[in-house]
Amino acid sequence: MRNIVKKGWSTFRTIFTGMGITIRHFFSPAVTLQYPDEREELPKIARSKLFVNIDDCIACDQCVRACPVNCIEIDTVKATADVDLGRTSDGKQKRMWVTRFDIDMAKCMYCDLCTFPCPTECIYMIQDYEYSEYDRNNLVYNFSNLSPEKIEEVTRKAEEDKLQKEQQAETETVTTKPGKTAKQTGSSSAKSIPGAKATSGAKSIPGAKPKTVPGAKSIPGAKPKTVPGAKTIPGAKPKTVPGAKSVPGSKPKTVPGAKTIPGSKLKTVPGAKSVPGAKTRTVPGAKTIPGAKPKTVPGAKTIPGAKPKAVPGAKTIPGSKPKTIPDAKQIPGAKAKTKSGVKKVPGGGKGSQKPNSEE
Amino acid sequence: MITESILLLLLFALIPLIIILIYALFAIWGERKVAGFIQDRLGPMRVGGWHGWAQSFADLLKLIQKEDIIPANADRFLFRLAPFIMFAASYAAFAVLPFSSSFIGSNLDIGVFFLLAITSLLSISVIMGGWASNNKWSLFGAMRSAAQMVSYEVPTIMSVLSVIVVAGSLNLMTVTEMQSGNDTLGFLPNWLILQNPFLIIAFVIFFISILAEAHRVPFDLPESESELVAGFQTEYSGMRWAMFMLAEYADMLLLSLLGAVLFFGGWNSPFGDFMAGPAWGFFWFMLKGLLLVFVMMWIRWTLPRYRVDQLMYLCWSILIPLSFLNFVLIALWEMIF
Amino acid sequence: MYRKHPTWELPQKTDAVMIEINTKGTDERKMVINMGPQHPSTHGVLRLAVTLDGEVVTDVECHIGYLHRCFEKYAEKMDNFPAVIPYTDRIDYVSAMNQEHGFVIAAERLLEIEVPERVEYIRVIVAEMQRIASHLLAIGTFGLDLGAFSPFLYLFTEREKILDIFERTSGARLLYNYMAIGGLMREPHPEFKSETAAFVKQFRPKIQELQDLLSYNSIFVKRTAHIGVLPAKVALNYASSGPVLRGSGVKWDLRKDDPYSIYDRFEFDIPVGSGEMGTLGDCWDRYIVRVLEMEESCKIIEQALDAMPDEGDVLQNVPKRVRTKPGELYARTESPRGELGYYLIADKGNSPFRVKARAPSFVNLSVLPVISKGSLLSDLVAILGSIDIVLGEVDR
Ligand code: SF4
Ligand code: SF4
Repeated sequence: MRNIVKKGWSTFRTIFTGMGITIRHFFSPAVTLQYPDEREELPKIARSKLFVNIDDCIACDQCVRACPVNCIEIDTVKATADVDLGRTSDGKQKRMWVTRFDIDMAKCMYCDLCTFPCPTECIYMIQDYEYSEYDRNNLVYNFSNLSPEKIEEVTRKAEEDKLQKEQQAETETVTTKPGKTAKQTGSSSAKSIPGAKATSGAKSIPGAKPKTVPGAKSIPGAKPKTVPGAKTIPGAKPKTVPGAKSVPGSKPKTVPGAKTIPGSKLKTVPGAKSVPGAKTRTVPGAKTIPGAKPKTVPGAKTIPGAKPKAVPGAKTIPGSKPKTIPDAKQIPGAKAKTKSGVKKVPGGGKGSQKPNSEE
Repeated sequence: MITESILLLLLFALIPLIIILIYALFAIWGERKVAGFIQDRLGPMRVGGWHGWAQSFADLLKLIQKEDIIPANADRFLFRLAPFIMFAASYAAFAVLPFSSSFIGSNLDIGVFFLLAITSLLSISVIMGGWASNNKWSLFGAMRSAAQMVSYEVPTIMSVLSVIVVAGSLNLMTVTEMQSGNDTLGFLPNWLILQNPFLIIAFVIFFISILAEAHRVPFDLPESESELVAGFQTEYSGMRWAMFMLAEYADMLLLSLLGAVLFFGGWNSPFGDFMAGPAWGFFWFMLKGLLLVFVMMWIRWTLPRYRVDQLMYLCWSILIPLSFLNFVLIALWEMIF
Repeated sequence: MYRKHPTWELPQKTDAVMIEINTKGTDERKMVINMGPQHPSTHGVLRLAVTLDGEVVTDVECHIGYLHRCFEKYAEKMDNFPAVIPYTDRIDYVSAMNQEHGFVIAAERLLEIEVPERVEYIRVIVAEMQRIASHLLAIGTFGLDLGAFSPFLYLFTEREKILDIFERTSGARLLYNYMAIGGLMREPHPEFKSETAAFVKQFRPKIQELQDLLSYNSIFVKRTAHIGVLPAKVALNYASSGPVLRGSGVKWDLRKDDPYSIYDRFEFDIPVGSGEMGTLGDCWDRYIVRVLEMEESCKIIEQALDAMPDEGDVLQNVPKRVRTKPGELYARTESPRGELGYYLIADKGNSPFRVKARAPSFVNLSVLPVISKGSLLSDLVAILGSIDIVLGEVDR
């Protein structure tokens, strides 16, 4: 009995103690922060959102490598020697165009690991925490400040630059090609002439391609050239290389001139040497041939329309031109020829004929 | 003549309903506010301007728009019926409460008896809802609830009975009227709780029991969130769930008001004739009831809950013997004095 | 209706087990009920298949893995060691600092990197702060499981203060990535010392308030004393650690028994369960051990703040590039939930070859079926709360 009373008493006592504490809290001020109306000042180091000061980025890739979840993606293009990209605010020379700098904040885990290795401290966390989106794709932030045209331009420049260097480097190795290429052109042209042209046009790669394989783009194109208008093409390319960049439209026009150029190529362009024989014969057909396109590689997109018109036999070509770099790869005809044609197809004549007949 | 009386009847029926509805909306808001303040928070703040007073209205609008979900394999008829029975039961009981000296829904001579009988329907509706949901958690909640309500009715009735013994009437209006005046020790009101020391114990038992009857912490086992998800309401949503909520808050008020009538003088002013009259009577009556409701909320946000067997132990081994003993003592006290 | 529904029928396997365990009553009286993965008191996404006889639990089966995130595989696939640290945060997101501490200690031993004095002190301070924060959450949710809502929010207010300090120190509130191999990611903010000292000072009275409001509340005691009794022998057999083991009266704390970092320099006690309110090793003992541990952590923090050198570069020993040496080791630390171990194997390369995390929650959870048999459904909730699991750590 006494026990029960004692227990009962302790029950009441503890309950009233608790109620005393809660009623004290009832009258004490609240700790609530009325969020949208009042905001907490976040400390400077708070990690809420990544920001990249792209003007200071030297595209060193350190942040990409540090990120555990791979949510940073950077594409860069090497600037050509004649362009000065300026310096970062702490005096480092920038040498790369940053054509893409995407951070996927939906993937990011705010670990801050990417900000420490950055040599120019241009990637850092800012205190903006209100950036929810309805579409998660909107959480991918693009920090690159280059316009698409600019990207295209610098990419082209860089490619050409690269190409040039590669060609220079390989001048010696090319010597064996001429004979082969001639054959190829003949064989390949028989089947896929149109496609071939197109492909070749898209990439427009000079003779050098087969060997050097600068970029995927150039490779397919290289073969095609040899295929039908191998002769013609070479000429075209050389031109484009130096002057083509600025004037896309001019290429079609210059096509005829291409023939003349071969000679020039021979000198300047290593790949040109291989082609010589072919060119001389086919010169007429060559003009019409997509050869023009090849040059346009970078700027090819704009040109396409122009070429068809200019070239009489171009009907086949037009479709091919639009392909531009990526498309070129897909074109089966072109590839097949290029690969197989080199060895298999003996009859070079066909290739040359077709273009002619079209004319 | 007949239409007039019917209209009058409807009006009388409507008044408690309006009181309940308004009270429920503000009690839900108030409970959240009380919880907020006790927990150093602010509670709802945004809807309606001043301290988010319109929060419950916004919630109601939301609940009305909600899809009415009835689980597969549920007993659809009972499932639908349960919330209404629950609300009807607590609403009907308001009929016998004397809101003021001039207003009472039905001046029954067996008012207390009617009230206790009709509130027993609550447990039926809880079992109905829990069983019809075809959900194990709901069933658990329903079973617990049935056991709990049936058990706690005994101490409730015993403590009410002690008051009736003192007051000598089952009519709540009569019970209230006899508590008017300020004669106790010369200045205190004639409330029953001040008339007889054993009635204080009776009140404590009564209060504990109504906590259990109204499913309030520490006896909120039927819907104990952390164990049974939401007890018998687990499968309810939208307006049906709102009905349960409404009934629950109405029940809370009902039992608090009953406590006010039985122990605290009902509509009588604590200052004798000062601030007395029908309107003031209503004010005092509601104030007393709401104060008890506040205490219930205060307890809810302080204490953990009992376990189901402890609840039963408390009821059958402590409260019931104690209330019987208390009853006898009160009766003796009344005989002697 | 009751019989019609297919889910009412018991699975074959459970039947067999039940017959073995409980000879009272027939199988028809039993009910299998799924607690979780969406249930208010399974602390995340744990699923318990509970076999009930009335409200009496006859069997509990834990189904885990809903939060499995391949921590160990990720760790192997990282390019370098530091990149693993943010993942350790996510093992036990309630005590991220302690997780980091465990991992960097393991990595430092493996790579043989010295840690500056000042760094050690700061690490101990933040680790103990984190321990307090973690226990606050554990105690708060334990109260919540038992229906006491307010203490939960009072404790959260305190936890918030700790998180504020952490935010100013590391930049994040929950997953800090603050410790680096060989040091820290950055200097603590200038007011770190004074703010921490102020926090500890105002925190002590709150512990007392908690004792009054919850620990000794008679309803709370009724709900926890004699419930889920875990005898020391069983606890040891199940390799439990941390407050679960100490609640059973075993004085085992790695900070004292296998000191790591600089814990051997501090004076503090190891609170153990005493059966004060009920039986030794019941829920209340496990609970009170956590409350008392917060007090001990306060002591450690105060001593560390006094002894901490003010000068020193926290980054000086952080290697620019971590190069591993072939080797393997197991390093264990005392996380708020028990023995947190990292077993590392490294071969040549920049990243660990194999990481194995011994998560205390996972091990502690395994005692649940043992100690909850025969208790009521409500007790099961209390027992689970008193074990204090974090599902992130259980599943990793
Ligand atoms: S914060 Fe961490 S996860 Fe986010 S981008 Fe930087 S390294 Fe990657
Ligand atoms: S580490 Fe800095 S500089 Fe280098 S790529 Fe990233 S952002 Fe640019």
